[in-house]
This record gives sequence, C-alpha cells and structure tokens, in this order.
Amino acid sequence: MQITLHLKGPLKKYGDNIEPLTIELEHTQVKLREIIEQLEIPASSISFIQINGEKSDPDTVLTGGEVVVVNPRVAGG
Amino acid sequence: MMAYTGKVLRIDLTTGKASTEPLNKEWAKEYLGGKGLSIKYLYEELKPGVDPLSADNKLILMTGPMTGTIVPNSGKLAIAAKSPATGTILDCSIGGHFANELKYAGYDAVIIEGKAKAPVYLFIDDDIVEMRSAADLWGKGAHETEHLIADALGDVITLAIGQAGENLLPMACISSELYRQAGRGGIGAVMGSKNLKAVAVWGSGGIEIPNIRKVSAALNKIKREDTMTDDNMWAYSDGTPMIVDLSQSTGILPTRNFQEGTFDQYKNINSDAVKGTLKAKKACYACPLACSNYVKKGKTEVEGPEYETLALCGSNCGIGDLEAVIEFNRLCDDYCLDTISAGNVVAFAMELTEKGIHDFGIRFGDVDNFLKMPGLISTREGTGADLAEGVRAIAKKYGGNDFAMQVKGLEIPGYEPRGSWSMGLAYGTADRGACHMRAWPAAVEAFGDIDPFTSEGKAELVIGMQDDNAVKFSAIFCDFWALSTERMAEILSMLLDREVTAAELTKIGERVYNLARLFNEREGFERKDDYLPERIYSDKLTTGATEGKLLPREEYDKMLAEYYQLRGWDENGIITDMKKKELNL
Ligand code: SF4
Repeated sequence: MQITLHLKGPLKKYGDNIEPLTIELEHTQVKLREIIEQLEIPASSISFIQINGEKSDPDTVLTGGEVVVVNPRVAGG
Repeated sequence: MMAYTGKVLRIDLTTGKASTEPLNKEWAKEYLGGKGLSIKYLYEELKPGVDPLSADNKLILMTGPMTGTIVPNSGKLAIAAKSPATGTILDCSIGGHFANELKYAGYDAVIIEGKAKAPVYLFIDDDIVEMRSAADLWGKGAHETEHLIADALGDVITLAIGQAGENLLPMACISSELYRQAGRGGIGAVMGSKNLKAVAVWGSGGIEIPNIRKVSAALNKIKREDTMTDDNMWAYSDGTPMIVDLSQSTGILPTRNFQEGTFDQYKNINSDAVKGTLKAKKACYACPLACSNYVKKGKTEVEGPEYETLALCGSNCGIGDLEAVIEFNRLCDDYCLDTISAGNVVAFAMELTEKGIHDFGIRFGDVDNFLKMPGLISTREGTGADLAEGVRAIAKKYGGNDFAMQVKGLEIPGYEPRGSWSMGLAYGTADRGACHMRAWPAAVEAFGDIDPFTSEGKAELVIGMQDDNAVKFSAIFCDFWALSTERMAEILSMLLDREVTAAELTKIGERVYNLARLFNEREGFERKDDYLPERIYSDKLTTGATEGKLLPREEYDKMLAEYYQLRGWDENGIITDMKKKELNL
C-alpha cells in the first residue's frame, strides 16, 4: 500500500527535504505513529497531523491511499 | 546597572527641549523593560482620562535589558501610549534595528511629550538630540520619508509615520526599515497628533556585559541548542504564512468577515504560494530565525505578507489573489495602516454592502476596489472617510453591530474564536482590545491536543500565556522564540549579573498584566468591555472542521468568571485590593 506524506516546515528534513513523500508500505494496516517513528520525527516537534484534510490522531491505522500532513510546532502567532 | 544604560531621554515637543534622567531602578527591577516598564511610566505619568490625541498623551520608546546584545531574538522595541483606538493602555512591538541603535546611543528609553507647533522629526545621535523641520516630509508615505531622512542623515535607523498617522486614524501604525511595524491601536496617530513625523537614531556606544567571554559562549550554545531547533525553525523555513494551512484545516481561518472559518481559495495565499514569490529572508537585529520573507510578485515587492495580512486582507476579504494581497500589504506599509484593522474594516464594508445595509461600493473578492482602499482610508477620501474610523465607529453609524468584529474598539486578528474558544477568551481579556499577541492559545488548542470546543481549563491556559508573554515582551524576547521561563531566567541572570529565578519572572509577568488592567480600570473599563461580537455567540459556522460550531455565550461567561477568579479579580473584573498588595501595585 502507498501513502502520501507531507512533512511541513522544519520537519521536511526528516524526509530528505522531499515534499510530498510517497511511502510504500509492506503491510496493509499500519499505524501512522510507526511511520513517524521510522522517520525519527520527535513527537515533541509535531503540533498536529491531518489525514485526508482532517485533524487526526497519530494512532490512526492507515489502510492505503491516505494523504497525511505532519505540521510542526509554531509559536508567537 | 548591568545591561541597562541607566538613562532615559525625555523630549518635550512643545518647548523643543531634550533632557536626560536616570532610569528608575526600582521600576526596572519590578517591570524589567519593554512592555512592563513603559506601562509603568505611563501609569505614573498620565492623568486618568487623558485624550490620547492630545499633547498630554506620551509616547514611550522602550528597550529591554538585553537590547543591543547578542542574546537571540532580543532586537525588538516596545512603543507605548494611551490608545486612540480603544482608550486602553497600548504597547506595540516593532522589530528591525532601531532598538539596538537607541541603546548604543546611550538610552534605555525615550519619553516624548507635548506637541510640536509644526511638523518635525527627531534626530538622536548619541548625546546630540535635534528637532528638525519635517515640513517637506509631511504628506509623504513612510517609505519616501525613510529614504529622504537617510539621504539627509546617512546611516540612521528611522521610525516614521505615513499619511494614516498624520490624519490621526485609529488604525495608524509606525513603520521602520520600510516593512517593520508597530501595528496596533493607532500608535501612529499618537505620533501624528504630536506633529512628529519620524525619529531617526544612530548610536556609537556599547553595553556593559559582565564576563563577556563566558556569556558569549553560553549564548552561542543556547542559540544552537534551544533557538535553531524544530520548535522554532518554522520561522525560517516558512515564517507566519505557514499558519494559513493550519487555520484552514482546523476551520479557524477568518473568511468573508468571519462568516466562515475556511476559504475555498486558501491555496492561493498559503505558505507554498508565498514561497513561490520569495526573494530573500530577512531578520531583526540578533535574530538567527529570520522569519521575514522578502517577496516579489508582479511589480510589487514587500517584506511580508505575514499570516495576519494573508488572513485579514486575503480570506477575510474574499481575496484569493496573492499579488493583490501583496500590493495591499505594500500600500498599507507605506501609508502606515495596520493590516489587521484595515482588512477587518474592508471586510466589514463588503458585508454591509452585500447585505444592503450601506453601499460602500465594494464586495467580497472585488480586487480593483480592494486595492483602492488603503489610499482612500488613509487620506479619509470618499468612502474612506467613514472607514478610517474603524469597525466600531462604522457600526455605530450604519448598523451591523452584531458582526462588527472588534473588542474594545480593536479589530479581531486572524483566529476564529468559534473554533478556538480559548482565543475568544484571549481576545476578550487582552489589555489593548482584541489581540493575539497577549496570548496565543490556538497553538496548543486548535493546533494542538487540547479540545477547542470546551470551556474547561481555558482560563488557566490563557492566564498562563498572558503572564508568560507579559514577561517576554518586558524582557524583550521575540515571541517567535518558544523559550521557557527557566531559559529566560538563565539568560537574564547572566546579563544582569544577579540571580533571576523563573518564579521571579512569572511574578513580573503577572504584575505587568495586572498593571495594564489597572490602567484600563482607571479609564473605566470593566467586565462589560470583555465581550466578543454577537456573531461569535450566535452564528454557526457552516464549513470545514468548525461546521455547526459557535462559542455559546454561557460558555464564554463561564470562562470569564473563572478567569477573574483565578486572576484574583472580583466578578466585575476589578482587581482586588489583596491582589494589588500582593503585586505591589
Ligand atoms: S523571529 Fe522574526 S520578528 Fe522575531 S526577531 Fe526574528 S526576524 Fe524579528
């Protein structure tokens, strides 16, 4: 299965500065958290995640075809 | 006093006299500098009820203890006065390089009082302070003014006003280095009311820092390990335009005068679109983050547009044309109009027109008329004559009060409170009217793990952020650096050569926030002034993640009551005697 991953802002470096990343997965059901861990993105650097445009939990199980956006923390406003 | 110059420059424009006096050390200890110390001076020196546009109002330029040093993100200046837009206390923050030059010239602060008989500008060159005629500058935009002053004086850094300030608009700002603004509350009108077109400064001195080698090494380590990190580098990679996507996806992007929280054309004005026009990154003094984007699109070049401009002048006006937003931004910077207020005013005029309440000749998405607005508003010509007075005044004259998006007379920034209830409370209780810089809880709520649609825990969240930011803006750290109070204490301890604790800083933050409230209390503000426009309580949003959402009034009341109680204020929002005593107010 395949997902499309957008790592935003400074998080891009965890995907070799490629945006979007296309990720091929061996299994049919994978928790998003596992992908984040594989890419070594510190959880503390993430503000929130969107899956197909909706704010979502990192424990969401992906089944293929999803567009995932991982947003960095921001300050100040 | 380590790190301070210990000197205040006082300029009386009525007499043309400049004098120096020692910085009040007691106050500097209790309020640090920047926001806190300037409010303290204003609280002590202004008579209650003073007309903000009279000679009796004062304009204070205040640095902080770290200004001019290599402390990261310490390059901003506080500018404070009583606000002509709201009648509240007003302190603004401006980046660039004015603050460090002022410190090098030998001053922690400049207090400007009185009113010049004819337009003047000030030139501060170390000990020499001159008041020069601005007859040839009056009527010109801030950009030309800065260029002409640089031609006359050479290497100086200038604060200037444009036509909006000269014409005393409650949304007039002060500009520096063309694209940096002290934006809100009509601070530029205070300058205009004093017949003061500009202040130029050049300094040749330095600042006394203890153990300079040790301090430099420690600061460089902090910069590497705590500033240039994932938490902060969004400022460099994207800058504030990044927030467009965050707001859109969480349904809090103000759209068509806050009628919606999502914008169908958001991709035209988001960070990726802005990056497509990027020419260079720019930074304030001593800033490794360089959040500012210098962009060029079509014939227009500008430093910006920041998120607030993209949201209020883009989606909120139904404008999905980036070139138009950039040009609007450039015009506002030149006339010296606050883009948050200007965007709100234009959007309000668009809705009034579309609803048939009053025809301002402009509708959502109408780019041609949109681009005429900064000029008309700043010069009070045509429809601009009404719009120049701000959303509250327009509603008073023509109606539409329920969707006049302001608090205490200050127009609302770019975060929809129906999708971020804590932002609603932050706007309601901000000391200068609707402001996102006093607390920005959207970062951890709408953009984080906290449920945005509950009143639970929001009072505590907002208070914590307000006090934190109060101390940050008093010590003067740019708010884009997400640094802890402990880190602030560590840095200040090094610079002031005494132990500063995080607990002491938290107390200072609370003191500053309460003093601002006390100033407003003295001007007659109370609970009734801490409310949001009716639209937030009663009109449901209809798209995106906030579809069907509002902020019910009873939930807002609950948050407000809890907020007062946790603050130690009474049920009417008045600071209790016990709290005043505790904070030495
Ligand atoms: S982050 Fe931006 S606003 Fe803050 S000090 Fe740096 S350049 Fe200036």
